[in-house]
Amino acid sequence: MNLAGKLDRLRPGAARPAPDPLAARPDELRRRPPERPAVNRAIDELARAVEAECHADGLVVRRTEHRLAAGTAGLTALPEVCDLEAPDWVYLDTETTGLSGGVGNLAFMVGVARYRGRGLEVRQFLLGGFAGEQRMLSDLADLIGPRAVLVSYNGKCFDLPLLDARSRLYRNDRRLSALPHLDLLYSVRRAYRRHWPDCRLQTAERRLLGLQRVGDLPGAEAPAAWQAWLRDGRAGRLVQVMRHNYQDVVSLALLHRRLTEDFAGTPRPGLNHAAVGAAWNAVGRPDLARQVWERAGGMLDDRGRLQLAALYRRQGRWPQAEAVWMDLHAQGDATAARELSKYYEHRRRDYRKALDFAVRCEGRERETRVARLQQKIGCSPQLPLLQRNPAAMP
Amino acid sequence: MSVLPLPAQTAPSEPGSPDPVDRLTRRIKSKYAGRICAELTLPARDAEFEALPAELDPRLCTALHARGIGQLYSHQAEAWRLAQQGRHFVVVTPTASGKTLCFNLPVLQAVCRGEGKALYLFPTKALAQDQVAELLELNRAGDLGVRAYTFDGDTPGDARKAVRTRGDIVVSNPDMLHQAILPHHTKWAQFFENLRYVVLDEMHAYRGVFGSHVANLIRRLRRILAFYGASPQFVFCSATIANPVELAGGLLGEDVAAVARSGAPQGERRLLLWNPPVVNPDLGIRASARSQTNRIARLATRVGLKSIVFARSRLMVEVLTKYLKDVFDKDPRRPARVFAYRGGYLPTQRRATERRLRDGSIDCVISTSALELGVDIGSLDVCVLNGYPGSIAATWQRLGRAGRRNRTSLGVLVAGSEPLDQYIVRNPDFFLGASPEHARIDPDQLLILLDHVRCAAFELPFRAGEVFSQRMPVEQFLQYLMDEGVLHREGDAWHWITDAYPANAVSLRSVAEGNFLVIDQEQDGRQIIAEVDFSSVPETLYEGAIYMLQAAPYQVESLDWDGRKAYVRPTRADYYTDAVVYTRLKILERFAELVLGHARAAHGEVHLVRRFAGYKKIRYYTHENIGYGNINLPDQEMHTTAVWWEIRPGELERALPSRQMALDGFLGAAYALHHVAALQMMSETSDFGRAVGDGDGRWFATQGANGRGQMRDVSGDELAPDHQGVFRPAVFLYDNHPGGIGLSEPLYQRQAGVVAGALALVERCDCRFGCPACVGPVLASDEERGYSPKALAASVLTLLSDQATRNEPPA
Repeated sequence: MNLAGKLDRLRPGAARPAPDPLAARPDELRRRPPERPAVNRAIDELARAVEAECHADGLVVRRTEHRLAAGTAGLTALPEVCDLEAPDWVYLDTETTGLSGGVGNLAFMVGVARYRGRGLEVRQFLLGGFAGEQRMLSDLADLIGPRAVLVSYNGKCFDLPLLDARSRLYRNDRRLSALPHLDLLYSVRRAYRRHWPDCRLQTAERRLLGLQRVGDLPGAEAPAAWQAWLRDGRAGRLVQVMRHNYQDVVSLALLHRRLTEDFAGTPRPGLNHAAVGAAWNAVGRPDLARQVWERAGGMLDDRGRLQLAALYRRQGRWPQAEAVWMDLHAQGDATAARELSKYYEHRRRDYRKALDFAVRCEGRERETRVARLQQKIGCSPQLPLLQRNPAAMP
Repeated sequence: MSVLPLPAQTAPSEPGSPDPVDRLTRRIKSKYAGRICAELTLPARDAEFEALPAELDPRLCTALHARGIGQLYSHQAEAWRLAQQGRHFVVVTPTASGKTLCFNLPVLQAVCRGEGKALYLFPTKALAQDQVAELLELNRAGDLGVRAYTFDGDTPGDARKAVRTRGDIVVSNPDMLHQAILPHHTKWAQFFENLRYVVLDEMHAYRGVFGSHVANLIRRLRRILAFYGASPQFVFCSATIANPVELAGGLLGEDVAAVARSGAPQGERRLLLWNPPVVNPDLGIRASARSQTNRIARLATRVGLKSIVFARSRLMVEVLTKYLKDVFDKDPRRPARVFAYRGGYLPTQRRATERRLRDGSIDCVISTSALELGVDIGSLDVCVLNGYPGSIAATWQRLGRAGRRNRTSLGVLVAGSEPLDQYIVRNPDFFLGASPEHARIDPDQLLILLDHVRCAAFELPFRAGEVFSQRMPVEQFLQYLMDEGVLHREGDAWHWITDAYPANAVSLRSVAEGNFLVIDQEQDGRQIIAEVDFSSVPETLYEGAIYMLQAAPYQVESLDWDGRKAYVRPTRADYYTDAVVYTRLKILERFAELVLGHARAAHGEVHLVRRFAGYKKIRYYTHENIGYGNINLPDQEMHTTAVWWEIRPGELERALPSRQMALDGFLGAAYALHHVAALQMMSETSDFGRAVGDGDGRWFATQGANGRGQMRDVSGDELAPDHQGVFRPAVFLYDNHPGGIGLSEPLYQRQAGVVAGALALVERCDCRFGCPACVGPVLASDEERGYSPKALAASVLTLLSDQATRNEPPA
């Protein structure tokens, strides 16, 4: 008995896929003949199908211009990239054979876009077979160049490690992940995670750009489309994948523009202004943080308002800080009470008022704070708190 | 090694000997002479030293001197020489002989001099952490600047990059290599390019299914290393087994040199085999091993000796600890003398106990196998094994925990009531005299090989002409995977094209099909408490089954067959469940046959179908049958290899007048053969299955509700034995893994020993009619059936054991 028969017999429970239509033929006919002419012919057909040029053995490239309303002005207005000067933005998205990571997954399609003239120049690489991969990876690295700033959606964790791993397989040490990188997924998460069910690119498109894709091939079906091409030479669904990838790359540019508006503090329902301001604060731009928080007005949540007050305090804008704390305190916020107590004790030196706020604090520090203030005032009213804990008495 | 017959007459020390271990041994022997079945004395051995190698890096010399090491034991020096010659080698020396220095020295030398990096693989996580601690100590002592890190499931994501890029020595385990490192090897490129040594410690753990997987894992590792232009030396370390060189060679696929002679000093060692006294001769019930273990540990602790007790379950560890603490730690003001140690304790607690053991402040520690492997715990005087650990290698490994360099030490093996335990103490010559077992692997087991070809193809495309297994051409497997749609051939290469991460679907501890997860619904509803091998699921995880985990009973509430999950809940049931399995077996091919005096033994390929008819509920201790339940599972089919014995027509009728008696005799014999085979083959009992039938799948035998053998046909209906035509029963022991993992052939080679062992087990059992320790549980009604199942099994085994071969062609 041959090996396949033995293995089948040993694996009664293993689900074999539905037999390949070619499988019924005798063994020697089952293998697709690997000769080059056939591949070349096939690659020409593929190129025609997706309206691209045949670039090399097993690789086709499609070039498209996409008109945009706005140019590159203001695109650095995001915390991760605010220090860059006139960056060479390159939008990048891949379609891969698998989503689970590891060396065995490859990108069979890579789309990149760059600003040119009044729009984007989009270039899409598509593999007609494995033979084209090495060329694709090196052409891609050349095209991106050493001074690009990459913009992606989850590229930091997925697309770039994958491309780098595959380059390593061809003993190429150029690392795309070494380039500066703006991953819009992080920005979207920061700004919208709290109100959205998920932060997938298409969710962002729908909610922020008002785009609804029609007749789009779901990303999860892309691997099957490429497999169908490899196995049977059917290029049909690859046309859809190409369209999908094109849309992804263009959406990246649109989303990038839109996020700069959100991060500038335009008040919008659903936007987490507190987190957006905090991101600015974390990169040393308190001015922008304050702008975001102030412009949010009533949309700013309590956490954001506390951060705003803390910023006022650091900048010595005490009246504004006090006003925010008083507001919060009126709602029963204990942190605000603590801040007010500190403010009246150390800044205004009004110990009685400080004590009024101190008793509304929470946690262990409340006792020490209250005791200290009572000592400063020089009286010790018998607060119930102190009776419970005589050790804290002076 | 010398085996002393009982009563032992040799007294190595004069009366009133100052050696407290010797005094204790004599006291036990005089007081409990009836319980001691055998005694063994291993003589003391002097140290053999060699000077530190001249080429040793001066910083390493400093480090060794700082730790009080001025010279090497001869085996460490031998390992050093082999390492310098660039050889692969295996070190096999006893516990606490300074084995780790055999690989740490060459590795540290290479690392200090910037000549390369090292990968250490340990079978478990805990051992890996100990190793790093030891390396760091040497590192500090010599200011070596070596960076050693563990890389396992607990390593946080942000630390992983540092381990990959900066680690000089990475300490991990096979599962991590399989699932995390190799599938992402490009991230490890820098590490692999500079890899100089690969060290596999506790090599004896890599046997059977696990070992066969690890051998393939090493094939994958070397394939990736070749891609990065590295060909490191492999160093293996092992506890004593019969064939360390063969096993290391099998794992590596290449010849290895051996370092087998220990130069470490060793005090005299005594070993006693102890059988608890019989308390119910009818049912063959003995006093519990627990009570005896407790007694011996108490005696040792009272006279001021340091002891370690090994128990087989976590629960037993706790029970014994409580009993001993009740005696020795009554006064809470004084520091505790008794400690427990087992998996499930926090790492910090375990480290603290290890520290106390090393500095000698613990008088008695009770442990599971967790302390069996290389954790450094200093030296102790007495080791008590509560029950046979399951293999000879593990027994010696545990006994080795007691043993001082210059003083006598004592080991006591207390037998439980299980067949293996009883076999060991009743056949001390087998245990004491026999060489340790062979560890076997089958790296070319078809399903295991297929799994790893799949994983390897994901890691790097296969090229035409590439060799993965020396014996099996890989192209056939690639073609098979291509037909499955997993691979795509282009030119002379096979590429991975599926959306999958194949390593996730391959468990290193089972053959194909993947494991089932056992989920405790009580704990947040989602706590995974165990993983069960696919092939044992139908027998252990059917709905209603009592599933025992660390001696704690859980009841299976539902089984999700497709999702590979069993949902259980803790229970307080006073019974266990035993599946009623109808195993129908058909011989497909005879590889070899031996004509014996009255019987025939053969080995070959079989097809078996197992039907899970239902299950019995059996009360603990009394073994009463208290109820039945149904099992709703599809029949399980398996192709595997088997060994079988049949008695020649005529002989059977002469020895056993009725067919009913023959059935009972065969079933009892099968039970005894099964356990003895597992013992002699260094396997778990679950590695084998047993069946009684005709070999054509026409009928098979099973034990009915009344405890009697029943004859059933293909559909499971009962047949009347006397109304059948030809009656040619055979007993089968089959390799219980799909495709077999190479257990049948060596079993066939040793069939005479297995039959003799089974006969001895039955004949020497102290029960009257048969008991769980010899022919399997016997119901009380057996006393009334007029003949004893034990005697019948003995008759069958006697016929099988006449090994005089006859010149008669097979019928």
